[in-house]
Amino acid sequence: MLDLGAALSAGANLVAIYGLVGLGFVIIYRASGVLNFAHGAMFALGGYIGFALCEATGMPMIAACPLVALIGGAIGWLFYRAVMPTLAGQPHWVPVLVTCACGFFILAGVIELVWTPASRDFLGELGFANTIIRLPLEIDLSTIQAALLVGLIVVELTILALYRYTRIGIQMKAAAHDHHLASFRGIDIHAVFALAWSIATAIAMLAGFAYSVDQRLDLHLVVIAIKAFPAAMVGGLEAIGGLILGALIVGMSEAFATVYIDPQIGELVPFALLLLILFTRPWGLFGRPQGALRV
Amino acid sequence: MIPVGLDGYRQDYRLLSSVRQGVAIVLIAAVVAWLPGVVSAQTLEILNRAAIAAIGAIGLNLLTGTCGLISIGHAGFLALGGMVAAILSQFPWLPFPAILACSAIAGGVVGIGVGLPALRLRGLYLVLSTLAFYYLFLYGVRVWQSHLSSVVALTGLSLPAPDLGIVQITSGRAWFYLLGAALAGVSLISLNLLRSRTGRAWLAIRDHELVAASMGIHAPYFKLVAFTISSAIAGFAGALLAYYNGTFSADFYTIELSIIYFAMIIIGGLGSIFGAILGALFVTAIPPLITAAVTTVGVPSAWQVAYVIPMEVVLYGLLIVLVLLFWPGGLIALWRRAHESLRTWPLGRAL
Amino acid sequence: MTTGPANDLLVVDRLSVAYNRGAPALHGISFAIPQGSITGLIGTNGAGKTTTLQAIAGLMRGDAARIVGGGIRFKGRDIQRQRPHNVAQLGIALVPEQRKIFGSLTVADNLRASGTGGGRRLVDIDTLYGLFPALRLRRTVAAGHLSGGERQILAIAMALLGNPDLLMIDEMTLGLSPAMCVQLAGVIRDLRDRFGLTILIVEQNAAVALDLVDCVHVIEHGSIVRSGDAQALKADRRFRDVYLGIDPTDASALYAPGSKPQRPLSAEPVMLSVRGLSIRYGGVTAVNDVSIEVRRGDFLGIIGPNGAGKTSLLNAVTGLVPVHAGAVVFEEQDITRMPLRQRVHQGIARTYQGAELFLSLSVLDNLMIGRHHRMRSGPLSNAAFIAGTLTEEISHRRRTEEVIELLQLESVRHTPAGMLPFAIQKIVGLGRALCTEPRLLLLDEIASGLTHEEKLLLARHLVRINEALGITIMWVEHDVRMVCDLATRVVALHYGRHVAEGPPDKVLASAAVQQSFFGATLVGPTSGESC
Repeated sequence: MLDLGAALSAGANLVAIYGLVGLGFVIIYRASGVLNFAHGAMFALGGYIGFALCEATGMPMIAACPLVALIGGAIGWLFYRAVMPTLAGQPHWVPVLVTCACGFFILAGVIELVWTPASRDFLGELGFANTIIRLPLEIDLSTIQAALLVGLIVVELTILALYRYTRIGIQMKAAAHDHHLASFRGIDIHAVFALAWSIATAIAMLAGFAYSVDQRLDLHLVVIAIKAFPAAMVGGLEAIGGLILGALIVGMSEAFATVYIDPQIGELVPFALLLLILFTRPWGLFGRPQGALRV
Repeated sequence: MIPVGLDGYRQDYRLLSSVRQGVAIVLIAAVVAWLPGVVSAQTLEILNRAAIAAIGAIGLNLLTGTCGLISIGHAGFLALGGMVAAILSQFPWLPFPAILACSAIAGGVVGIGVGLPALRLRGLYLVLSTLAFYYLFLYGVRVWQSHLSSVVALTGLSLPAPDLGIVQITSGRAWFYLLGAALAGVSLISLNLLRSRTGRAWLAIRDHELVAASMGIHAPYFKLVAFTISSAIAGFAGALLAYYNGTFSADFYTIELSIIYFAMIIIGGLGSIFGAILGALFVTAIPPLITAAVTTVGVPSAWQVAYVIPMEVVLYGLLIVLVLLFWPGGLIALWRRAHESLRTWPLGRAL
Repeated sequence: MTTGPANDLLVVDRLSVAYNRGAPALHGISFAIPQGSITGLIGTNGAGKTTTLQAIAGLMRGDAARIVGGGIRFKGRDIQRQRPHNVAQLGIALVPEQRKIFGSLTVADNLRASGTGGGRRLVDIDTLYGLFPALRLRRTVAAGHLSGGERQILAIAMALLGNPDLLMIDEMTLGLSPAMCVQLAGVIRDLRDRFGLTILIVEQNAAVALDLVDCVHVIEHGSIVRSGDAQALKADRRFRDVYLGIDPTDASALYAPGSKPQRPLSAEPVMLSVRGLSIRYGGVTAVNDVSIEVRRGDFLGIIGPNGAGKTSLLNAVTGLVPVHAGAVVFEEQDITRMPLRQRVHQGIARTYQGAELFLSLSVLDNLMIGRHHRMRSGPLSNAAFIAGTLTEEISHRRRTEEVIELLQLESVRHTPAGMLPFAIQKIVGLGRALCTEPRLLLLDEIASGLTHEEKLLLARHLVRINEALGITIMWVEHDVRMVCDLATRVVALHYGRHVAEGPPDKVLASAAVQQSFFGATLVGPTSGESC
């Protein structure tokens, strides 16, 4: 039974991370129709910027968190406005390549230049006690990990409410549905899309900071974030509601495979699930077929 | 009305449209053949690597540039070819050309499997399918490699020098001729495909798939063909790469490698065989050029690893983004404009 | 009402718009819209009406066209460089064609998404529910499930929420029933009377337009060819003839001087039989229980005002749209559900209204695509270009050259299709269809967008194709004059229904067809504003 607890604990951690990163991925895709492959690098960047903030100013982690989120929002907003409007009207794969290049090359390279690829631990103050919380079924979560899980649920519900009840959320849906019509109806689509990107990036960077404080900081974070894509796909790229389920499935499967079979097999599980869902139900558990199938 | 018989049209299909073109090609070939004697070993290395990269790039260009399908799993097919070559090369009785053929076939067969989602999914979802294939396959290769002897697990499987019976390919010069021939062959195959029924079908699918279907073109079939041929060429290139490196190790085939191949065809100019070659040359030449420049200036090598290499990575990224944003035509567009202005000189833009 | 500059809400001044591939769309058009008027922009397909509206409403990067000259002034201020949402906030609301709404959102959310922030409000959502009770009733329904008429009302309501001073509506009545047209026309006049809105409408149905608007501008080939008071134009016989192309009293055949085939067509077997066909999409019944027979050798024309269902009918025969009810039988085989790709094997080929060529391929390659389904060489043979491929390429090339010769395309043989003028693209599209060696050739408004000379040339080609090559033709066309001159038989559609059939002169003269084009007055008299 010791193993079960370990598997569930590891799984819970993964679920939180895949959920938060995947959420940003889905928000961006729903808003502007772009698969943002730089999102994983943003997750890592959050850790690096957060660490730098704390090391430079000595502030505790808890104080740095809102700053990291704000910086993430600004970076997401700037990134969208600088790059995406120029790509309007180009084939669908151009933004894919641009974001790939930005994430895997530019951002990763800049991180290496500024901070070196060496792995490091968080040496500053936290501002709270990151103790182990013991839950039933022998699940052990650190405070940060529990906070991430709770945060995932809170953020997802907030986003759902945003889309359903607020005017800006409805306008986001409208702009995603038909951006010409939205423009004619007075909606500034680039502002709306930039807002989506900024929200998504803020979430990813904050999650990356928290994760790297809890575990360690290095460029492996990019690879971890890439495994969030399968979580988003399983849930359905068009459906925010399915994301938690997708993260749950992928995160838990990976954790259980890691603990019970082999760590190397565990790494493979998200991608195997991705292939599985692509071959059987490409629009995910909660998406609509029209979103994924060729015309 | 000029009556034209069989011969009239046959002329149109000749690869060389005039005697003058044939003479030009022979001259260029002669110059190229003379190169290994005069350039430095370093330059020869760059040219050889560029040739291998060009072969891979031509394959990717058929898929993406001509047929309009995106795959970021290209490094996976290179790895597949390399792995097959590495394994088969352990059997000295297997002739080198046969090993190359097996690598190509392996690439093609796996390509069919990876390409199947293309038949009913939108482009973006296809990208993810190729991403999943890449990660799965590479992890699989890593697992396999780690279960070989501990030495191999670290440094990779060794491959002997290619043995063509009459000659062994050991020197840079010998490689140059071998790769030149391989590149010419792959270019010819691509050219043939592009000017025939298959190539036309690909371009029609890319331009307007619905109308292509109304013309009787079976889009799923041709997309699958594109995937198969592209990954077969990638397998072929991967085998050559493994032999050239002398070893095969999974670490070499990163996701960044896939993106670099994309950089080649985009910077070179999408849809053009010559563009793929130009792009491959350009992209392959950058790191050594920068390293050479930096060393000449006098930067210590420790510094280089820490700063220059990441900067090259950033430069690659910037190049891709800048070309895509502002200059989608690539090098080939520049070449054509230069060509045009040379032809109309000194009238310049008047024409 | 005077149209002095002080009274003009919108002034378009020598506006030129070009498509991104370089082909011009608007050639320096100029017109003014007086405050408080209802103005109409009429013209045939492809004339440039929608382009004009979209240029006024604002073009974005990534759109198919851009402004290359001239200016647009709204309330005295230059707006041609403004992005669409800015133009909307300045007070111009465009209701785009195809009555677009946000289909996946509810009616209520559609309304919430629209409209600018604070400031003076023209209407609020409650007022709109009062004006249009149907919207309140359906406010929790997903907009995609509304009927065509309801959608149009919703689209207009959404535009009104933007507090516009100028309301522009593109193709309001397309595909809607006569009763709906009357209702919408009433809505438009009501909006002007009650809110003082200035309104600009684009209509292909000249009959509806002339009854509704004060002042009319006629666009043809990207230029304004005629402007004037709507009532005066409506009474002008010559205008009707020139613009609508019909003069039943003029017996001279403009396009095919001399012979019209006199063979007894009823002796030929039936090639295509459309039986009780109904097609529905977007909340509209586009084709309603239509039955047509096409015999071998026929040169059948299908006419009717826009929205009559002509193109939908064609799409059903070629397999582009699903059929709601009825059947399509080709040479005794039911092809109603046959996949698109297989129809060309049966011998059915078509041209497209927008030519739809493969733009990166040369003319020759476009035509060779037509041969694709008759070629057998596979990729492996292609890769090596060994004997099979080469022989096949040559023999099919020869057939293609015959088509090139027939259509006189020799000079553009190797030109990339994207660089051709639109008229030539249409001819290439015709050639591409011919290369498939069809038995039945379907033409979709092939004459639209062509000048008179180009139409004459096309007419010669079509006659030769039908008579010399013996290919059966079914031709959907807006230029009624041309169709009646060339076709041996004509079918008239109106609001998706079959209204008349027979020899061209008889069909044209029939009361039902006359009414479909000129209309009995669908709306009441206008307030008589002249321009």
